[in-house]
Amino acid sequence: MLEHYLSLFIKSVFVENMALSFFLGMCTFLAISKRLSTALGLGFAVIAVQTITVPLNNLLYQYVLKQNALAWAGLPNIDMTFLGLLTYIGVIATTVQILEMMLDKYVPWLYHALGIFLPLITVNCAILGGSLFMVERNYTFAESVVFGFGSGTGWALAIVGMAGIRQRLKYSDVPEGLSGLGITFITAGLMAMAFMIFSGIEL
Amino acid sequence: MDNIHIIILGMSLFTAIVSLLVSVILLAKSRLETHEEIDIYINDDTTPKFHIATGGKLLTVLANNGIYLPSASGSR
Repeated sequence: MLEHYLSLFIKSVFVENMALSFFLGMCTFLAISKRLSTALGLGFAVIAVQTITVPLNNLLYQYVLKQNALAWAGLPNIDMTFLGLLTYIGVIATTVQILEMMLDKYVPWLYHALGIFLPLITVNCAILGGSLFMVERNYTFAESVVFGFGSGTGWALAIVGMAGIRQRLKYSDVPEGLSGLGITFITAGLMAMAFMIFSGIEL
Repeated sequence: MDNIHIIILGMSLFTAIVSLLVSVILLAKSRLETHEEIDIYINDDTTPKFHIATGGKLLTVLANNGIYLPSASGSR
């Protein structure tokens, strides 16, 4: 049993990395990866949001939205999955708002460093992607906790790796036409290719 | 169950979920945001222009007091 969860975790971190295998959350990934400390902060924020929202959305899906889910309320054979996107985004927005208030109160330097990208976690495709993958793959609650934590960790790992490389790039002699985002895109592509190594692994 | 009932049920469910989420946000806001009174001075004012409670956004406060500044991304 533990093996199954461990394999799901490894799979969501490396094999199915949100940023480098599915290219989700690219806007924030490229914009906030200039400094390692900020990237680390955003990475933790994404892990927190993903670990909370995927299981919450799983509960909503299992007990309210999916076919026959409302049988407990005496309403069998009802399919509310058409409300899925709206409710998942609602849950994500609420979690991000609360996280924003918590960071503002307890970690103000990170709150100011993340700036506009903190509320924009709400519309980070990696976060919504996590919930949608959870629905598509029909994960149980426990699996969704592991998957949420794993996919958030994978995204955080990717952005921290990218920030580390970009900090090093400052000291390299990049051709003028490629400096800035150009070389960053190439680096992201190379990192994605490197992560493809994991795609053949069967766990 | 026919379509109209599904629509009504969907609307009620969605309203219930959103209300629940809003109450969670309001609860968090009441616990996490500090409630202090502050003064806002504009340019070389010697006396404070406004006396307001913390927690709001600066551009929203200014707009509420008749000073409208253009802003992207909802004044963040």
